[in-house]
Amino acid sequence: MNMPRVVVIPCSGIGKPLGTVGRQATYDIVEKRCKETSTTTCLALLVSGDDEAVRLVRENPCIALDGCPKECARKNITLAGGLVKSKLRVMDILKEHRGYKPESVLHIGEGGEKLVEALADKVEKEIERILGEEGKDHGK
Amino acid sequence: MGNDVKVGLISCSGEEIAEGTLSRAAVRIVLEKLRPLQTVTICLPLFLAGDGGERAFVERYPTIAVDGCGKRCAQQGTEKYSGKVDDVVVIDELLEKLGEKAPASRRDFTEKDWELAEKVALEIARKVDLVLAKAAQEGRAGTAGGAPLPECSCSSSGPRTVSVKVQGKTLELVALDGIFSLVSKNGELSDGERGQELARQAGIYNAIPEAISSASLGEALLREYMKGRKK
Repeated sequence: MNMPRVVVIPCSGIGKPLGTVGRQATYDIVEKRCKETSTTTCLALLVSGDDEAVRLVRENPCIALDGCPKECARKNITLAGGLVKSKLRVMDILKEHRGYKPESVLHIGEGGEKLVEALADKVEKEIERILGEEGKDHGK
Repeated sequence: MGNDVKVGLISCSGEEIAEGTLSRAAVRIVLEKLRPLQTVTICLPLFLAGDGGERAFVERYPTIAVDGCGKRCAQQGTEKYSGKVDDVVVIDELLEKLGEKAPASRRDFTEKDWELAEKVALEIARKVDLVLAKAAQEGRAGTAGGAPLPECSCSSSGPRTVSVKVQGKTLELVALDGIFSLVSKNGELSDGERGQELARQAGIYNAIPEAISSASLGEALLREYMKGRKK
């Protein structure tokens, strides 16, 4: 059975440390924690209508990680015809862990790294959930 | 040349490649350290997805695209939806010119990678100066009499805090621009409801002291919001 990979797409908002947190968590997921079951693509490439990026989000379940209320990641995946199976806002994770304050956009510091870990924990669980559902669907 | 002239820096920030991380880091160095008064940035995905304010900015102000690779998403996206960029930095081409290799990691930069980001930032800053000189020659305005500066809710020029007085206490609040913009889109709300929504949103993005009531915060934010609307 050909199982899909979950596409994790952060907004990478350039003006806010929370954009960095989403980006770093994505790397922790696709490079370490869920290497075999997840991937990412450039959000700007997707928005530009790149065929490969569009195909990727249309053929695989997606997780959007957004740093601000404008939800660029979620909106743009949807606009490209992708299926957002899970949308996570970094701010919501920060609300759960108020002590984990990232320091700056370039250097998120210890608090920021803890927030990255908390977000990655959540993303990892979501990937397991999504793939579990996909497995059931494939088994139908 | 006055400080009211700004150059918009549009970084691709591509997540797939280390050059994307490098483009993002270099742009931040220019914004924070090298040319803080002359530059602002715009979130590319927000711009491409059709935020009117951000597109208006590019139509009226000089712009530099910073792209990680030859796909040039920042340059092409800007030119497709708005106007011609004044200059472009393509990171992989620049690295070749500098005889440098891209960082090995997309996530964690070594000391050498940060030095490289500084080098790239210097190149961007050099282009900012050239673009500003040309804009001054051509008499292109900055913010004076032009469109408002782009205000993506990421706080384009770094985190902007607004002091708001509530129940005799002064709170330093972030993300108000984004919150005001979000709430302004809902024309159905009464003033009371709008105040409640402003307080709710501000609570998401700020640690509000427990002693501050939601109603007082809502009233204070509504006053700020109305002030902004009158400008």
